[in-house]
Amino acid sequence: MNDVAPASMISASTDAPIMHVPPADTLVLEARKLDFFYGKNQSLFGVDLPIERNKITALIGPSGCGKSTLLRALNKIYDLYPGQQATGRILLDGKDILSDRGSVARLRARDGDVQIDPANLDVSALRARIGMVFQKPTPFPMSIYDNVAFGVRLYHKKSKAEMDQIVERSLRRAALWDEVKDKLSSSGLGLSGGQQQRLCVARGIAVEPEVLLLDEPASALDPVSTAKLEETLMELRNDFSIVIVTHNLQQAARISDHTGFMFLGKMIEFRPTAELFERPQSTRTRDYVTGRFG
Amino acid sequence: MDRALRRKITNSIFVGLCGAATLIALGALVFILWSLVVNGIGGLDLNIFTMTQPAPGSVGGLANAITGSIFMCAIGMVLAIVVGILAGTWLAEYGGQTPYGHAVRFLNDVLLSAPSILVGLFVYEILVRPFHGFSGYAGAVALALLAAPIVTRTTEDMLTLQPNTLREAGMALGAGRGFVIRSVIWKAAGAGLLTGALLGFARISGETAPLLFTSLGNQFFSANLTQPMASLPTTIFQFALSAYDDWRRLAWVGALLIAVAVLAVNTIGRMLARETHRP
Ligand SMILES: Nc1ncnc2c1ncn2[C@@H]1O[C@H](COP(=O)(O)OP(=O)(O)O)[C@@H](O)[C@H]1O
Ligand SMILES: [Mg+2]
Repeated sequence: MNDVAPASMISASTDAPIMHVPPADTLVLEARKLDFFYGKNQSLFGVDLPIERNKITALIGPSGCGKSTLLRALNKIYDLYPGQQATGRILLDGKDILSDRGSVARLRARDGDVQIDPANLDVSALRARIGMVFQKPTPFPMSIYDNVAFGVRLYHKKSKAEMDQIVERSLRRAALWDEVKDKLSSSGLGLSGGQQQRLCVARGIAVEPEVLLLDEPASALDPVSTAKLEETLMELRNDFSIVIVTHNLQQAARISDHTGFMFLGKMIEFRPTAELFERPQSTRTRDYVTGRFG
Repeated sequence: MDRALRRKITNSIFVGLCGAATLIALGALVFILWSLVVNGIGGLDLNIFTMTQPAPGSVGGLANAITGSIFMCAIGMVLAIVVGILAGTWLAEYGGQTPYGHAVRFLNDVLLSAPSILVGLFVYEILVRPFHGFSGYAGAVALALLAAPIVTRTTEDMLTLQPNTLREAGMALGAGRGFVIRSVIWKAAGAGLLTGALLGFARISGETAPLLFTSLGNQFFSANLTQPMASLPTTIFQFALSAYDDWRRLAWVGALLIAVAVLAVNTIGRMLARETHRP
């Protein structure tokens, strides 16, 4: 796989990434030396990303640097599109989830005879363990209740009473319950943008995933809704591990424990948030967090 | 002449042309509806629905034609909706970008504009001649062949309009692709799918040529789909060209009934769509 990357992108950053990796036993999800291809175009170059359990990990970087791509690799949603490929390792609880035959063959061609411990999950089961919230709210055209119950019904047969409880609990945890408790049977499409986004969070956590991935979840929201969403995420940290892509540096600084700065498809610097913002080691990171570019 | 003025003039000429075109189309429509009502309303009475077609000069109605049309349109629409929605879904969600998918789409577009008389002849060759007889089933199949391409096309267009993030959101919860399509995407595109079905119905409700080759017509009341079957368009065709005033009056009534049915089905469909889509 050395003939695919344009030379200009490789030379963009030749220095090794500055990685401050939390202890291995605290990690729930981990990407190692991940390459990603849209057809022939390579968008990620040997990216490492450790996700610590019950923490918020933020990804920052200029547009087009590969943040969304990395997120979409983590739950294999890219799998829907023929031509998109990941090579490398993604470990969920220490087991390889990228371990289909093609990707293993590509990995061995690149790195030699790597030891793989396959998780043997089918993709749908995997995605149920790694939830995702998108930039634009994506409520389903059904009632608020059915939106939240959607994922749960896929995997569990619950009684009405149990389901009621799950729906209420998820909506409470997403800080939406008080606003919708009297209209659970009305359409999710009728909510405001901020409410819709929290509905998507509730829907995502109702299936009790281990990791929740959020791709710029607040970029379509007003400041009040954004603050509410942030509060919600801070609460959710107690039960889930969260990865959030954000354009908003203050937001990353406010809510995250670890921050990764990406640039041109590479992880430049990954460190505890306060350190990265106060004492960035790479000049690129420094330029970005001080607002000199991007 | 300065630019702003010139732009203003061009603009008003264009708006004027658009307005005139709309007026012409609307005028034609109103004129058609008007002549249908004027000529048809007089003959509209209870006999129309209770009596079968008369011999010239005696009392009668259109019960046999109305029943036949309802039977064949209903069966034709069920077939067209099942085939069209599945085919449109396959084109939009699965194989639409493969060479086979492109071929299917092309052929569907050809069928979309195929003269209905060809469809009638085709069904005549595969269903009427081999079974030695005209039948209601053959008529229904001919109508289905005319409506299915419309439903297919509309379904594909409407599903393609749904954002990918909606599909991804469903699959990110652990749902399989087919399940997301059935439970989320079809629902999101519901009003559009219904529009496709309505367009299909509007197309077939007045078709005459394909029925002449397939269900033929039947002057008696018959609910037996294996036998020749009456229908409003074929009866109108027969009566309108006849020399008898009372038959010609019945033809006008039949035409009015078709127009009213299409209007009613469309209106009800739109209302349903709005109802289910209200947030
Ligand atoms: N569907 C796609 N097909 C081809 N290239 C893509 C696609 N999506 C993203 N890319 C490319 O991959 C790179 C990373 O994009 P992305 O992950 O969306 O960046 P970010 O989320 O950081 O703004 C960009 O150069 C972009 O052009
Ligand atoms: Mg992005």
